[in-house]
Amino acid sequence: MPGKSSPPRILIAGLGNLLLMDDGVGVHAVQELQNDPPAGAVVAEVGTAVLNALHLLEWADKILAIDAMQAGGAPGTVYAFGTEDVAQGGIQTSLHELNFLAALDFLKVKAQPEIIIFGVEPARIDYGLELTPAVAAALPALTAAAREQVRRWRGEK
Amino acid sequence: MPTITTIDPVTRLEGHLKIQVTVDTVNGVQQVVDAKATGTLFRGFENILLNRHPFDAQHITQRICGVCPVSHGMAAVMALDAVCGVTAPTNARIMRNLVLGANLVDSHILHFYHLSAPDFIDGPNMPPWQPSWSVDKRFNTTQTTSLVNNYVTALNMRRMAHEAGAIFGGRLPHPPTYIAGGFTTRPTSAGITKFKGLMNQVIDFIQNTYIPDAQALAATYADYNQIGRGYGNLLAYGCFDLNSSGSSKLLQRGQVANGSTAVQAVNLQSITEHMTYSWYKSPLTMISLDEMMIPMPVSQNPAVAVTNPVDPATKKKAYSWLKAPRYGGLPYEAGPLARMWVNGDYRAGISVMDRHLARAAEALKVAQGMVAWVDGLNPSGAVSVTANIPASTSIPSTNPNVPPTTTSFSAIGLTEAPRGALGHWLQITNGKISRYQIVTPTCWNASPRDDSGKRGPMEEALIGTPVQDLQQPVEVVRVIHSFDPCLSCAVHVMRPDAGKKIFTLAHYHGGEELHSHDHNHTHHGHEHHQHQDHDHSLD
Repeated sequence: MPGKSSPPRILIAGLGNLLLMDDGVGVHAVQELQNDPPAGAVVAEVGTAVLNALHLLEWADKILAIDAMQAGGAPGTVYAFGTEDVAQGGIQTSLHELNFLAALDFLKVKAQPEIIIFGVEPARIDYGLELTPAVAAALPALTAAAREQVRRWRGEK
Repeated sequence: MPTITTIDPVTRLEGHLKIQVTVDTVNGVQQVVDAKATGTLFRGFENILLNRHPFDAQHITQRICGVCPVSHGMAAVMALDAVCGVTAPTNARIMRNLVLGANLVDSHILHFYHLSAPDFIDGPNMPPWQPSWSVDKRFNTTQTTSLVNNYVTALNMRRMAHEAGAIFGGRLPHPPTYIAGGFTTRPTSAGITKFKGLMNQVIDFIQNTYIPDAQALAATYADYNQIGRGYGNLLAYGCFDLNSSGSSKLLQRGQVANGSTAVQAVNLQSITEHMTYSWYKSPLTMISLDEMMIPMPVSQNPAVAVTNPVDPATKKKAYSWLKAPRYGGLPYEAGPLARMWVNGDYRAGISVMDRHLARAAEALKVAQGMVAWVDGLNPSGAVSVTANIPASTSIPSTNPNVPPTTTSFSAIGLTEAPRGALGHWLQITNGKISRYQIVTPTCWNASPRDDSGKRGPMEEALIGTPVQDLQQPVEVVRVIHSFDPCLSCAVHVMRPDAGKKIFTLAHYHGGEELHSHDHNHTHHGHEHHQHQDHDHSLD
């Protein structure tokens, strides 16, 4: 864990399945960001391979996760929230599914990073590689907000 | 009176596998007398590949599965190499193996410490250990503390294995480096040195921590050396080619029936997919019985199999979105135990604990192989050859009423995912993918009954499993987890918690107070995911 003077280790993680249209919005967003990565952040396509990204989640002390989020808004609506606001599964027995949030539970054995999630309301989740127009139209605002968040974390704001 | 208990879901990985067991008392022992494994979601990913350029296959198939993307990349490029008629240079063969191996070692450590251990250990009072079932925790405080500490160390070891893979694989988890004809990165001396440094630490952990912990588990839960055997039919496609033809592999291809030590060759034509108990339209053939013609379901080889989903309401007999792959008409188990058995490296038995022990032994064998292979890399050697998709030709018909036929090219890519045999069946027509069928290891292991009514391997392994407490059937879960089933996640959509505050970014300006929207989705209050009814991939 770096001291207060060290710059924060920032991870932007794109979540979701690229093969399921709007479910892949987080992956599309990080692919955009990777064309011109924000200074001081690691931009990673995590997709659905959350377990294979544990090392990154563990490394970071600030995580911006981008994913599809069904909150009832119009398709393309972008939401920002913390992990405490996302529904936790009713963990039955010891058999929880290991999604992003459960992966973070693994890390609770160690240090817990600060996490902000940007969610995008999907219009359609079905087999396909393309985003729907409503969600694609949200990408510029989404990536701009991600860059702004990185700047804020780096104290450049 | 038998009791039916449904456990849903049973994978700690994303996705749904639902197991329904019927429990009854036989000879004074309450035990599982029947089992049904249900893959709950239709997988239609292969259809995305149709009419795409064949070289998209390794990128797209890696996204099917969040758990072993590397194995899908490997299977895809093996099929592409074959269809293009090229042989990857030695550097590429080795680097493909190193990245696949890193993923396998990483996955095995994860499976033991992070996915299986919570079934046996009374961990600390925090997630992911709690909440958990309270029954049959046999380790004493000292052993438990040690295992929990090793669990944390294992996270670090996984990171090292992963970093080692990334030296050659580039961006992980979805390495873009696997291509038809070879690999895209070039080995460097510095990379080779770093790779060995990381893997030697992982080897030390496997030898001195993972294997002893697996042995301690097998000793403490010795009854699980007898539980969960199943049919004892084991199938391995093999992987880690040690020469350019693939005739020599670290883990050989082969199959055995009923726990035999006589390893038989694998005849790919003997692989068929049965659909009688799956929500797909079964192809039928008419057979003559007592001078009557009756329709009988036929199974198909993946090279020609069709996937026509049906409305579950119209096929009452079926209970899974998985097809039932069979070898020579019989259910076969895939996975580390199958590989190590076929290879002659592990033949102590077939059970829950044998699966754990074989997996640990395989992690060591592969990791040791990796540090040896890396020395075979030549920083100045080639890493790829040009691969060209063969061109289709049009063959005119002799009958003027019949249109000309177009030639197609087919190939099969066979490899091993951490959890078992993985096959990609590819067909190309006019330079485009005209068919793509994937048969994953969890399809083998968690398959439903076949055309003859025989249970799938995991279903069969559950029969006879004693169940002490019907409310907490931990024994059943231990059997299932020993197979390392993975129903890879597909839909990942998060949901707001009931009554929690969610902020829309429209109101999100630096430093300002955020507006909130209260959501009260009580009917979804306990889901993290939305799982649509129509997608799923199994790994």
